[in-house]
Amino acid sequence: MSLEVQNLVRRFGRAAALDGASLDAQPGEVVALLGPSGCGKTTTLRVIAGFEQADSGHVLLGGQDLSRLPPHRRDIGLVFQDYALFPHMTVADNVGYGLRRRGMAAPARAARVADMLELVRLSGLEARRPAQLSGGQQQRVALARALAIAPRLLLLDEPLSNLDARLRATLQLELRQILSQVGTTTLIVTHDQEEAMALADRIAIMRQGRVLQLGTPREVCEEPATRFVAEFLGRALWLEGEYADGVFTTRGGTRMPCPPPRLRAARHGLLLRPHLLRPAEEGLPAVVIGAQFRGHAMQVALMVEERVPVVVDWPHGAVLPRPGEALRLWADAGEARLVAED
Amino acid sequence: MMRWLDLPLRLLARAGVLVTVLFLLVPLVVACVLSFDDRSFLGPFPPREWSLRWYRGFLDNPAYMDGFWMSVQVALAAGAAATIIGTLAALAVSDPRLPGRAVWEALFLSPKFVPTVVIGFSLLVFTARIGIFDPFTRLVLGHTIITLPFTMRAVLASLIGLRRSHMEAAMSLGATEARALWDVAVPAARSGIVAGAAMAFVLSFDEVAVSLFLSDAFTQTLPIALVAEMRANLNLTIAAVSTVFLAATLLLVLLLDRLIGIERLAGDVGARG
Repeated sequence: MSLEVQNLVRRFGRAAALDGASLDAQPGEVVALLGPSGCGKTTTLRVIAGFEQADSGHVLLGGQDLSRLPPHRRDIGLVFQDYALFPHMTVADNVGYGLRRRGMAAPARAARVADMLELVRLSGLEARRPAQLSGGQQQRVALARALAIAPRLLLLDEPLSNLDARLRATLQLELRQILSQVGTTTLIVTHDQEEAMALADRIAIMRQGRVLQLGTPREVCEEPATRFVAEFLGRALWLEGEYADGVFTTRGGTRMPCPPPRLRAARHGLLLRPHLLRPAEEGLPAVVIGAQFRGHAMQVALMVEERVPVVVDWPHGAVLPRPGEALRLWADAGEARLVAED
Repeated sequence: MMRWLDLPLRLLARAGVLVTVLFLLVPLVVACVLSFDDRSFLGPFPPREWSLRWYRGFLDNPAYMDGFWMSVQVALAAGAAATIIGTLAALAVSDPRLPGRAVWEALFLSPKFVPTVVIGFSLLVFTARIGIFDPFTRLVLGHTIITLPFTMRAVLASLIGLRRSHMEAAMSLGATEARALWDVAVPAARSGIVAGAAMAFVLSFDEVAVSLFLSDAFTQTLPIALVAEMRANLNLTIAAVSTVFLAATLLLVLLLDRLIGIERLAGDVGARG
């Protein structure tokens, strides 16, 4: 079912947790709400779930305004960051809880619970208690419990943040697979950009109670709407300066070719992704600060135009520069972006 | 070097513990032993002849037996009332949306700190004023008030493990807030509810000060009957009753320890002001 969040405003005293946040999700789409802590993403989720009221704005689910609906009548599945499994109930009772509240008869309930546990690959653990499960298993029980009620919308709050790095990678794949299998419209709240990229069809980047940009992972990465978006999604070299006729002149006086800005703004800066930079005969002057071996690649730390630090991956086999050495960096016009200053 | 300096201090601390334990236990042991004394006066210790006459005296004395049953009834009624009210109060106070939570909590815990004599007297005046003269009702009322802090504390302590997300999970799955409380909060608080109920029963059972004000000549709890009897004629029946009392309490505590663990219980009793 489609989700539409329109201009949510929520104030706590003088501070605004939500300051006109809007986003949407198409039926069956997975959208990630990405932002640093305190940006309002959790408040957005809680407003959608009905645990908090917005001061103004609307949440529409399948065209229906949810504002007046209490949480227990919204048919929204929720997976909490701490999983919130009921400790005194078995896995089966946890997963079947929502069905029970809907008055489903015991045999039908048992069948549905079995289906859900099969979906998350936990068949056979029906009689266990949450305390007897690993973190990854608890996470999957929480997911099965939320999906059992066939929700109109699935909300995931930092779904993988409580798991260790290796498990996170496996579960990411599995979660993605389960989400596409059930086809439920899903909103994932996360502060981890890699998680957002891996799981979502589209990403909404949030800051200070507003959604700055909503687009596919590729769009938000390659065509960021603002400097904040650019720097939040991976490494970025940000240069201030002036643009005129296909050429950006940095404050250091270097002229770099680049396409015209896509969006109007009072001020633009030049965004270069460090992995697209390469040493060249001409371009941005930089001084080597140091080099570091990082397992899969060599990384070289540089000071660009004596004021902006950047870390660049160094090609395999290339000779490592020495600290203090001066060189120039180049990026092709197609890889440079003019992005609005925040 | 450190160890040698510590030694005297350590010995002193141990001696302190030993003396305290002796002061706690010896009088109890003496009372128990005396309850089996055959003599009809408080003679030199230990007694030379043994008998169960004081236990017979206890069973034969209608004042004691009536008092015992009255105590049981009052403790059951007051314990039940204090458990229900205390549980509801704890659930209400643990909800972060309640304005002035700390004030409410302090209010419910206040009977702990008001002298029981004051509570007894105030209740006597108050119940007379609002037309409650039945001593049983008065006793239940008084005991409910003084045991309420303990049931509420016990439930509050057990609710610490309950996270807001548990309640919200239940609600997102289709439970009304009341239903979520029943399905999620009450099971989480179960050990606290049981501990609180048991505490309330025991405290009500041996309560004296409030009962002194609220009972009358025909409606006496066991402790009141004991006090009255002791004033009238001091004999060793009191020792026998005390022993029975002690045994019953010990039994209950052991039972609770098996059920929920003594630390939880002791933690909630320890704060008595």
